[in-house]
Amino acid sequence: MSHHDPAGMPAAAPERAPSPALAGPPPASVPADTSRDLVARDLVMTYGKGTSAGPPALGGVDLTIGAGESLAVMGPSGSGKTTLLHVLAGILRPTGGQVLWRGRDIARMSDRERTVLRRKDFGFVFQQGMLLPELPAIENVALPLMLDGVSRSEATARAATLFPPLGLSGLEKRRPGELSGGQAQRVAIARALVARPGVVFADEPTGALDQTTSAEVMHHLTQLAAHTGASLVVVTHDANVAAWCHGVARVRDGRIVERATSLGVAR
Amino acid sequence: MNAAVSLWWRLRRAEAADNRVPGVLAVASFAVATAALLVCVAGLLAFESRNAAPAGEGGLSIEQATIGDLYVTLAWIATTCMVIPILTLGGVAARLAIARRDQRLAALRLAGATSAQVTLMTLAEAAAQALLGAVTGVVLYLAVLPLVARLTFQGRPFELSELVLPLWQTGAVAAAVVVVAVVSGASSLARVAISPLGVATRTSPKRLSLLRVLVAAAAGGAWVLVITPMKEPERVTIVLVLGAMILAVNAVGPFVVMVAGRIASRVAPTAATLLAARRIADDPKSTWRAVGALGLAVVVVGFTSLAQVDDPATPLERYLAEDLGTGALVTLVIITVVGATSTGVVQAARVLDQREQYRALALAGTSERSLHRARALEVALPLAMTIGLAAGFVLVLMVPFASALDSGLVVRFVVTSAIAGAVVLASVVASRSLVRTASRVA
Repeated sequence: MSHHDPAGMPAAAPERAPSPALAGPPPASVPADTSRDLVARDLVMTYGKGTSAGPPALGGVDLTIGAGESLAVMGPSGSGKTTLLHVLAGILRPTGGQVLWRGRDIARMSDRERTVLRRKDFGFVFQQGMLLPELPAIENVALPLMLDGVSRSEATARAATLFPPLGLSGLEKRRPGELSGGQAQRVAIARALVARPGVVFADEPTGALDQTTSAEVMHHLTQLAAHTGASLVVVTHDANVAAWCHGVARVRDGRIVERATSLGVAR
Repeated sequence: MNAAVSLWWRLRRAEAADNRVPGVLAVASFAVATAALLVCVAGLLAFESRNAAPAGEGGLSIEQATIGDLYVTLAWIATTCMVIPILTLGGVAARLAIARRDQRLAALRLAGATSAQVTLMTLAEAAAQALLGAVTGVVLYLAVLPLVARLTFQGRPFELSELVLPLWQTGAVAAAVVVVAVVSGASSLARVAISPLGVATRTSPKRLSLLRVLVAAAAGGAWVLVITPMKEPERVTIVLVLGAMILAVNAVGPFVVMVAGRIASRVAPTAATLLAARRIADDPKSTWRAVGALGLAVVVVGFTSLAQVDDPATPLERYLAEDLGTGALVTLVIITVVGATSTGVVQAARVLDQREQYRALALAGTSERSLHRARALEVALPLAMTIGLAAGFVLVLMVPFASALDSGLVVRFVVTSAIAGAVVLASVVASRSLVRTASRVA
């Protein structure tokens, strides 16, 4: 697969050393910049209240995702991996514990603050793309910027820079219904990254794709996230998808039972 | 078949709580359509019966009776103007009644139901909702009759007995609403392929044909060529040509809305405006359904205002001028209520159809306020355009009479049109709870 240099994107991130979270603390001579780490401390999540409360979906999760690091969250169905992603992204408020992002606890933020946070600091990629069917691809990508008050011309110009590196040149004016599954997912990746978020959350981003297209999408997702310096959290069942990430966290019964460096076969 | 019916019933019961809002909206729309249709028919038949009664014996005065035929013709014209939007509302409600059935239809196909069986069951459900709505509509009609009876035409108010339809006619109107629901539902279902893996509905929008403009031009030509040369055209001819004119306006309206939506989408400066303009350009027919009738009603109200410019010389002329104003206002009120219901239902169906996209937008940090603003613009843009064009057209027609024009009359016309537009716009509020539910992130 070719390696693209996205036009208009910040300078390419240097080849990273293994993340502190994966390979222990960096050497003492190199001061660690933890301000852009996403940190979860003793996260507990229980659905329902009182006697109707179910078993905890998360039972005391500690996790650090370093700046620019990519982490695959794997586990069987019902293990709590999607709940973990939703809590980290400020979609769900945990029953207990903290989610720290840039020095603030997301769990204590108001709904409005979390909405703004998701708009400005986080990007999302879903299994089905979730593109708006009435907007052409370029406008789907520009939409988050326009919602944040950026002028249409600037938003469209910035969105357009993401099409060539994602292999989408010439598809700017196509509607989602006129794109293949892989193309639609790459448009969704562009939309997630156009506002230069600090973290991109991807929930089964290749769940609806075949193996070849899946590899292509993961290649683009990890490359573009690396170029923008965004951290990446990918929930997946697929070991081939996880192999594209720096690290893998295995979840079972609401706990992280294993944290390992990815074999990186795909990378 | 038995297994499929049993599964359909179980799915229906399980879904009931989840699907309450669209179900209630569909039934309410059928109720409004039925009540409006009954009021129209009752009014029309009241004028017919007044005209048929011997003059001077408790009926019309001998003087009034001389223009009784004119009143009946005007009543037919008003009814023709109102029936099409009312039937359109019935169709819109039917589409909502069968909306959000994709998972259930797919499950039924997986359980072994044939496409024909699934279609039959879905239409049966639409018919059941229409029947419930029609019965509610009859109650609503009976409830508003005392208000209608307070309207004064030909110098005297209606008697309740003039407005109460015989049972068979009431039943026929209710049955007509159910038939419209089934036909509209069948036509909607015919456009989707029900496979065991789901319902494929998403296709790229097709451009509306320029042929629509030609059809409208032909109908306009027919109006000029057929009606104008006739000194005293037959009522049936007027009603038929007027009906054709309204259908022609309904054909060209979506085309104009599509063009306006495309232009707006090119220049839209904000995300909310862009979304609204794209949705208008994508589905101009739905947009037109909501605003077209109102534009027509504004023209009718405007024309009657124009008719009141001349000073009535005789009491008969004074009655006629007043009655024209009242009739136009009643037409506007009915069309506004029907248009507002139609808009509310179209918006609700759209939110249900795009609930996953709404959730994705909310997850990505789009505020609920932005979502509401986009939907309000989606209605406000074509509404302002249609009412503005219709009102502007009438005001231009009034220019030659400017010296004789009562400024109060112009203000009343503008305010009435603005209120009608505001009522239709306010109907978007009805589906706010659906947006809140669809965009709930946790």
